[in-house]
Amino acid sequence: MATQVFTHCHYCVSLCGLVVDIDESRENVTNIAPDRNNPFSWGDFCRKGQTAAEIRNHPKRITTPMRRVGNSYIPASYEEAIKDISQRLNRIIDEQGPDAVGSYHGNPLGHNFGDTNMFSGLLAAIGTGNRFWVGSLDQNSLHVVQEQMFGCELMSVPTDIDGCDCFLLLGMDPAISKFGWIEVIPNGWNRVLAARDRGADLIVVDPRETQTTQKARTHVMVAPGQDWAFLLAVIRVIVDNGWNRQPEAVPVAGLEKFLALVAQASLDDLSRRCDVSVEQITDVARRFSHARTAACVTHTGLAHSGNGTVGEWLSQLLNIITNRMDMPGGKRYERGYVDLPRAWSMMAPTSRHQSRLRGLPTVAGFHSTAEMADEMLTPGDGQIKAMLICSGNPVVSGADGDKLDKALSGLELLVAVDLVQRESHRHAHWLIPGTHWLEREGLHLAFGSIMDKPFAQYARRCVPPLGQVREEWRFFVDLALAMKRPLFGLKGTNSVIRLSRRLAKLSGLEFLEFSPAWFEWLMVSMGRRVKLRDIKQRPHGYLYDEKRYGDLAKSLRTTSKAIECAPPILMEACQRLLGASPPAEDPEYPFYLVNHRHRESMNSWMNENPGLLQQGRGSQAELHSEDLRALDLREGDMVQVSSKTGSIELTVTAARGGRRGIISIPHGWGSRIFNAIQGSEPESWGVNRNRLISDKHLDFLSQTPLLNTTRVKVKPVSSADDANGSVMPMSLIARS
Amino acid sequence: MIVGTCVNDAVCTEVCPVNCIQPGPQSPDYLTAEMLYIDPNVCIDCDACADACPIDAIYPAQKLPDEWSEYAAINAAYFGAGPGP
Repeated sequence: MATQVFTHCHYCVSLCGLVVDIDESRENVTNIAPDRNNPFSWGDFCRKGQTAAEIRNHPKRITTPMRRVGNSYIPASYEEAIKDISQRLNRIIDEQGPDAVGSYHGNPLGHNFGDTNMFSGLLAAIGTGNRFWVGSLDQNSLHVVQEQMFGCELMSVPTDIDGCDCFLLLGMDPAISKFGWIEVIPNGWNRVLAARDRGADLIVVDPRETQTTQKARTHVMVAPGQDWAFLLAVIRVIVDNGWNRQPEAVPVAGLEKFLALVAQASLDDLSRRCDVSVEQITDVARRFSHARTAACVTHTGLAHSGNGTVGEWLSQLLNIITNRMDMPGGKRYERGYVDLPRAWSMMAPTSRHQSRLRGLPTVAGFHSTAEMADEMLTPGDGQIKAMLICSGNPVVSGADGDKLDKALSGLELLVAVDLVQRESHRHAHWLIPGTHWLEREGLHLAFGSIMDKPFAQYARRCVPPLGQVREEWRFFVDLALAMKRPLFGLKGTNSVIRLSRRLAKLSGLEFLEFSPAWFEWLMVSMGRRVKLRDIKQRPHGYLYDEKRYGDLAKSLRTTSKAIECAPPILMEACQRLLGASPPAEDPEYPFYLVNHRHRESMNSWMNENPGLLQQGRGSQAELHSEDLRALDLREGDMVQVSSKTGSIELTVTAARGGRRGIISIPHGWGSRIFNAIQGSEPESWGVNRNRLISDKHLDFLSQTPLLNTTRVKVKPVSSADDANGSVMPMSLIARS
Repeated sequence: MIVGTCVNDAVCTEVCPVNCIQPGPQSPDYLTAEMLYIDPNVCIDCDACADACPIDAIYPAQKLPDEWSEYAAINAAYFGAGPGP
């Protein structure tokens, strides 16, 4: 008979509790609905989660390893795949060193702790320093700042919404993308609106007008890429007027040094840079500092703007000098139930490796995605000859996809692990099937430490993996064993794994076999805050404690055990920014490219889901109506958008408002989706706007390309032939 | 809540993740319905419908303009229940 499974979604960090209906065969999902009995999260439930089974049952899903033969793929067994891949990798490593094997993984892998941990284990077995990940595209700025200030690359301090009287939001559009980033804040936007209805202040900083800015009491239309200047100006006004307060909950170091830097900055200069009047800056500063409780919140928008790391740092300082850090109604550190730095190091082991060509350090253990193509294309010792790509599509997510595609085409070995073959995998020699979260179970050991409540939920498998698909972690472990290189680079591990498998087989006791479950048990036991058994026994999730404040001070990992307010690299970067002239107007490339999220689209891998985007599938460029008029354009007209790096064509639509001189094109589109099994024509929708982004110009500290603020020009191509009168004209480009 | 200007466009039913808007275009009642209705006990306030509505005929229940104030009860009544939380 049909049954129900309680679990949570793994698409975004809202982690919505779900009730999943399964049919009698236990093989099919018949319905997905929010689990209203989940005490932590279900209110952000959206169609992406609701239609998850359509991705699990994707018509082009790879269900066995596929080996490239000529221009097509033939199915093979895991044993054949592992044998061939291990031999080829070993040969490349033996002949050219471990750096000749590179890796990239994308966002979906990060949502499964066990798979990510074992992937790290495989990479350590290979011994390569050429590891890349999606974090360099959207979150490195946070890791740099958290490491410099708190002593650990992941030590987020979630927003304590319900008691907050003043929200200052930058680089985020929570009305559309919910309130999560590297903080888990379920139903956050509705809670902010409820707070606002109770009288809380809401100030949103965004060059665009969005549904979020429309709910704000004040919308600050900051110039793109200049959030840092705005934040520094606000801090300056607060300090000048003596509106700052001593932080009560956290020890700080270097604050005087930072305040000396603040005193050097000219308010008028900052105001000109961010194009916000001194009057408005002062007003925001007064409101934020005088509020009983307040929080300055920054999400990924800042990370993309070239100066995002400095902006992220300044946002932390704004919270510190107004005593919002680890205080009620401000930002509250949740210590979770595991040793977070240890858990984090299992997902992102540190690395002192320097990139061969640019000599850059790693951030959170990975090199910048922007360096990948060059490291593959440029001959010499340490050139990347093989790549493992897991759950990622860097040709679309990263900068200069055309160049990266060319680089991938020249590899001796490309192995792609994914549900479906996408743009970045088109040259793959091997396609290895991936699993969908509906098919997996486990506990995410890092997320518990970035939630706004003490909560834990063991995700449950709803349906078995399709066909013979094995979970990714098993493939990674098997590969390390076949290569005879020790998983995690720890001698003896492989013997333990093999022994554990023998024991499990002999005894029939599955738990004896090495698996992510071992780490779950170990980390939760060592954390001593909650029992794994207690988590697993609560299918709707476990609110295991009351919120409490003051844990941040006890958790800091800096040498001083205080929050370092003036880390040299950030101080220098800020000083450089202050000393440099503001970016000059470029008459040849007069527009700034910025990004926006569509509610039902996320990253590059669900846009073809028929259950989503039913009003129209594809990407459009959004321009201010005055800019459209000046270019003699109407909605639906086709334009060519070009930068120094590349050029794309798509249709335009009018923005709701916002600044002139910006063009907003959503990321995640333009990937072809191939049918590896049948070899039929691929499908694709929209255009890849990241082809416009250079892989050379990076935020110096986060190494993130200028995904926002790249300069472009816009040229009409042709008029829309048929004005179909639809309120939301869409660009539907399904092409082969 | 859907208010009286609703023209049964039904794009809202396409975007709702919890199917709380009735009657849907597949339902026989759709052809004779005066307007569409949101079940306040199922709605999760995700705002997707309000976003999609081509004529802005949808408001959050707590924010119904005075002129449409009776529509909270009208929406709820369609589902035979009192107004939701």
